[in-house]
Amino acid sequence: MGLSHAAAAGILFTAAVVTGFNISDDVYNQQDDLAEAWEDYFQYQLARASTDFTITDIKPQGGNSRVFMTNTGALPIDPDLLSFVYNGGAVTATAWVMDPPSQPPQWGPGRTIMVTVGAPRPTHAIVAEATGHTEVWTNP
Amino acid sequence: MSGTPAAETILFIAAVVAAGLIAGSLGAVSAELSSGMEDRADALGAQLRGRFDIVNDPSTMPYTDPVLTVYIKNTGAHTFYAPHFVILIDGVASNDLTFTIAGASTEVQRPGELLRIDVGDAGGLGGIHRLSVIADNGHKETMEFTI
Repeated sequence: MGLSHAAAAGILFTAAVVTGFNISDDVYNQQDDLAEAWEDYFQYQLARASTDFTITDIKPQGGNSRVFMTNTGALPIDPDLLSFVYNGGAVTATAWVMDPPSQPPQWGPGRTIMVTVGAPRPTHAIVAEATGHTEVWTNP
Repeated sequence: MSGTPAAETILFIAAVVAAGLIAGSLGAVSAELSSGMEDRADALGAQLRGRFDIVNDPSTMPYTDPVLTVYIKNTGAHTFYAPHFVILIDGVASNDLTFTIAGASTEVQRPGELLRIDVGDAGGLGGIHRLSVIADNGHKETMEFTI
């Protein structure tokens, strides 16, 4: 009887320890993942709230156009992630340079950028950047 | 007393089997619990990281009856699987969607990318309408537009 009880107790104790370890390990891992996701979320909210720009002008350039924009926010903006919608349709940016040209070529706060877009100057344009901040321009 | 060792052996085996069964079910329950927690955490992570915006001009929607073009910009840190987007126009889901990014057919939209969705069964639109886009993580964006 004693041996039976001891064996059963041993198996149950081992199972309880393994289960407890597995669960606590999983909880820790999930907690870690969620903490990271929340951190991403707050960083995104902060970036979105701190990002702003204005379209100062859109000038014709042959069959293309040049969009002049000033970063009026507190964070650099990645020009490669800008999206342009001209008169309702998406168009493609072909190149961008700082205006005036400068190093490093980063579109930081207070700086102006000139983006060449492969479409004629529109009457109405929307520009969206990576955090979702959008600006609207209407040809005066 | 000659039967005692046999009885003890039987009891020992029974105790080990019973303990094994209990341990097994404990393991199965904990595995299910872990899997549930992982799924829940993944879903919550996707919810927190997955965001998009509709960047259409509501006054100039590209529309050639029956095709309405919708532009979705991935503004989060989550990669979307385009066929999982649900498009509702005035509350009615579309079953005819075509996805392109920069002119190329695609099903995957990475952060920062602009996805073009051509809704092929939006015939007869005119006046003011309501467009809703819902992603697989539950994120929803809505806009009103005029044709």
